[in-house]
Amino acid sequence: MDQQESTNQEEMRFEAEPWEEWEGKLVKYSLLIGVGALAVLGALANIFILH
Amino acid sequence: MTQEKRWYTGMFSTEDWWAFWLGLFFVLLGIVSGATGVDLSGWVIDFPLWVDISNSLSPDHTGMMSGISSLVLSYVIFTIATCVGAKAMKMDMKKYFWSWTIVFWVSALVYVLSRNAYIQATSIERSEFGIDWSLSIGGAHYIAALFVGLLIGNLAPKKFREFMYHGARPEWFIKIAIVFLGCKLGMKLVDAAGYTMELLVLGCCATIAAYMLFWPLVYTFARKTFKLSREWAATLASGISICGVSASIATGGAIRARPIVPVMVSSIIVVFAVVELVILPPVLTYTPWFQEPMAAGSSLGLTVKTDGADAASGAITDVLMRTRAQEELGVQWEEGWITSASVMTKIWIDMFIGVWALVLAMHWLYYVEKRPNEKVQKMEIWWRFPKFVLGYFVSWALVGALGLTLIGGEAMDWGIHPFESVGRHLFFVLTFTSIGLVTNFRKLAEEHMGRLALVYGLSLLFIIIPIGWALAWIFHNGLTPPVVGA
Repeated sequence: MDQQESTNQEEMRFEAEPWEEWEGKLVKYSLLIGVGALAVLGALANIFILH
Repeated sequence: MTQEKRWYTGMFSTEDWWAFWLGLFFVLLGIVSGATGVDLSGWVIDFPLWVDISNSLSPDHTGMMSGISSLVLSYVIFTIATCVGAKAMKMDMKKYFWSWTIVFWVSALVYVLSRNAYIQATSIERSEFGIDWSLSIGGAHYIAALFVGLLIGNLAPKKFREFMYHGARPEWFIKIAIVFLGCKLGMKLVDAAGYTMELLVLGCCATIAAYMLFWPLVYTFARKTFKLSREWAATLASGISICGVSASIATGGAIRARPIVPVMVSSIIVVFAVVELVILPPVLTYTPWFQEPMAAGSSLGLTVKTDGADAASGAITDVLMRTRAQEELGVQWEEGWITSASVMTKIWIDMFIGVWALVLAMHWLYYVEKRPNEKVQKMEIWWRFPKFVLGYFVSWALVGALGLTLIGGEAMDWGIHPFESVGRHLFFVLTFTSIGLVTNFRKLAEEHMGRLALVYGLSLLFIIIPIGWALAWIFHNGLTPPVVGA
């Protein structure tokens, strides 16, 4: 294994940081917007454009 | 985000901008042709179906010159044009020129051979060529180009493969083709045909929902199930949720990830995109998705993660589905709509890369690097904005506006058709050959890529494809391409 491959392996095995509150918020709010967009835009698209 | 950048930074030195410049140059050539009646565009080489190989080449404006002359002239003009871009991007010109030449002529040879009527003619076209049978494999030229590229890219000696990387530029070629595609939609506006604006709106809606569902789910999956660090998880989530290579590089930059992170993620993306490109078009064509062709096209924009492979898989699906519709339903759908559905969705996805990179940059500054007093420049959105998308909309607007007013539809179509149609197809073939040349299946075999590939593969199978298919259906159900002559 050459030095580059060794470095790559170390980077891949880099230990994950603990999950933090802001990550949870980023995920939660993104999902809320996504589900909301799906419901609202999906309804509008089907009512006014597709049918 | 405190680099010394201006709004025009990169305008003459990045591949994205050079797709804009070259694409628009040829579009303007076509517009001037239409406006003046002087034929500046008809030389572009076309590859019609043939039984007699002497009929396998023709300029788009038939009779302008011989087929061979058109092929040579197309090579010369596109070589000069791409070399101008290559020089500005500070490529090694000698290596670029020779490897591009090989890409062009290999692509041309594959294109000619695979356009044989026994391979591609539909049952309706057989009598026109005086043949009793044909395989009806529409789009065989794309698949053949990809296959030949993969053969060379994986079996040729290493030095040759690396040499070919200089001229095999799939992202650049497909971006130029997408600028050409903008003309097609401009002509649709002129013809008041189909539902161009509806497609635009529906693509936007699908993209918003997709972004906000894909990214958080993949990020959480990568962090919590596979215990990847934040920089790996964020870059991977962007690459697989948004737009492949561009998004992973933009995200890597936004969160100041180590260079190896977006590079490795990009390699995985390209390999998987090729696999999707081979598998998804026939899956969509020969399953109940055939009843929903526009939704099928849109689904590719949401699930195939590079611009090149997305447009390419859209083009293959377009041909396969139209061929099947003609054979089984006796219906001739207009060419390009299914491709447009896949590209349109991708266009919106590309446009929002800048916005999402800004969101991530802000989070990383405030919460990870803990520099709340440092401002993220809003110009990041412009710097990240894919410029070829700008080219797509500009060509659409120019062709649409001028075709409806000063030039007229018929003249505009005459001038722009060589680039909107045959030129675009040629650049698609160049893209397919190049995708094959740069796709290295060996990379997946390297042990330290295994975990990343596993996260990517599982995310694609269980998150991206199911949700992408659902969203595509919700926003495009019931739409079919317009029928020719209707």
